[in-house]
Amino acid sequence: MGIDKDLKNSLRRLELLNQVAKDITSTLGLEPRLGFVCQSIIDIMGVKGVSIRLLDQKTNRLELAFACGLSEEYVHKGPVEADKSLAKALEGTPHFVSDAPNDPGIQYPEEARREGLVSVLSLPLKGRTKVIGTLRLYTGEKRSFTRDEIDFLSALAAQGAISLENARSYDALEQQDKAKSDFIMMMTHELKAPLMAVQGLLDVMQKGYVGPLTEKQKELIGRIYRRIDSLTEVSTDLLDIYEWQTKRPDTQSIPLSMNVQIQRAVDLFKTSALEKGLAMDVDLPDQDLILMGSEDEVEKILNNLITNAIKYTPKGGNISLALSASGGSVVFMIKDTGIGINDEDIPKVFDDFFRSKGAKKIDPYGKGLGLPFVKQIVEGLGGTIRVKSEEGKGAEFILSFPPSDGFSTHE
Amino acid sequence: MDKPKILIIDDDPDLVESMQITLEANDYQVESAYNGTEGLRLVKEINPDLIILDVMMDSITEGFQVSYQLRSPDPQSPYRDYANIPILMVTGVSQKMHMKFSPETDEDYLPVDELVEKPIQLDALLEKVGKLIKKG
Repeated sequence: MGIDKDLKNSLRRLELLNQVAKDITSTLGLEPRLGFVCQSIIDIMGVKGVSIRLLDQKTNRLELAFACGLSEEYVHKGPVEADKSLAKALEGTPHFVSDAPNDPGIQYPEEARREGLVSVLSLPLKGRTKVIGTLRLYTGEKRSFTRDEIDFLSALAAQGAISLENARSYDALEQQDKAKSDFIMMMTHELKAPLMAVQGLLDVMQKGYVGPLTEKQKELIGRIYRRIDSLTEVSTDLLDIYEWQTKRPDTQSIPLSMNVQIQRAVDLFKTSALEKGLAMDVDLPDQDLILMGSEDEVEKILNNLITNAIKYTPKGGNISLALSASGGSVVFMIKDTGIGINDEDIPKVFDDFFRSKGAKKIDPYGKGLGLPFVKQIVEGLGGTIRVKSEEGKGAEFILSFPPSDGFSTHE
Repeated sequence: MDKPKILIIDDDPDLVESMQITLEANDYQVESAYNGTEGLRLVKEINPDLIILDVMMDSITEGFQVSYQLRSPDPQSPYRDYANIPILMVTGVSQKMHMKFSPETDEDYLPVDELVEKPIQLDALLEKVGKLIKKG
């Protein structure tokens, strides 16, 4: 019977270790996990209570993360100083006190007596680089722990510490993301509201509601409009990029016909290309080529690339778009006869805020956010984008989406 | 006949000014309030033919709250006599915050008659104002 019980206990220890090891990569519900670990230790070790405390670097106190088997009153007895009772554990070795109410090293001996606690074992929670807190076991009677038990608990504490560290960095990242998103939303609103107000006042002047304008005044108002438009564009771009980044994990990918998407984009921009005196031709295969993605994303890619081609190709030029299947990949090309990019600038065109001299000459107010955004989306869809160009002769962007589970072609 | 009376409730004095100048130039009388409370007080005082209402004021939903108060189905509502005044809501948020509150699709949710997106196009504003006042 004794052996059977020992075996059962060993098995439970292994199960618990395994469970905690698995939890290392989990990002969900820290509280229930800690609760499970605490309760399991009580069951397996037959102790009265368990607490997990984390070290606050600033105050040098141990803050409660979880406790079970202990009264609320005891758990919240007061601040736990790291340098008193738990110094040993924080140095990285287990520390054992056999008679807590009468031990001079214990910070709250009277409270321990009232709670009925006798022996206390403290183990360090060793994170990747330093001790991040302690795991404490409390017994209701005087007892000691065997080498085996301490080894098991040390292993458990080591696994648990890494799991805790992961959970904490995940929380910290989440908070940073939230702060960033709030900031961008606020900034966008704060930027846009005054811009809209300025635009409203200009509209009133331009309509002549407050008296006729001279030619020069009209010209200046036109310039103010252009500056406002470029600012509005930047804040819209930033918001788009931000929205895409935050929404990306929830975006539903559906099979999209690239033929349809490209034709739709061409139809949208054909007029503005013609107005500028540009020819636009498109070469689509008979067979539908399918890409897994969202319409919104593919639209953003195509609209950005086509708008750029129109913007940077002088009158009389040509823009051609082509779609093909090559070795199972879906390849999209857009080529223009515009100003092109010089060799030195080619590696930088996908960098945030980068603008080539030639581009600045044509559009002094652009902000260099379009291509980096396109690259992010393309890569998010598992694809690649590259550019070939000769300055003064034009540029060609080649996008390639490799076959994926969702990739297929159909008639 | 008297000129139709429009009440603008918006906390941005420059936007109010541009709307006011435009509307007055097109034969409307205009009063304005810079927050919801003041707006509701003026509704009772001047009994306007149309209310132009901004969404984000002191709080981001102040405009919604004003519209709910005005259109409250409660027979004891202090605004029951004003529940039929057409409301034109001005918003900069519907698209970006993905709130679906277009009057066509969410009538039970948002009790307004028309929506104008910021930045306000003055011609579009005039057209909608004209339509709503004729209807009212």
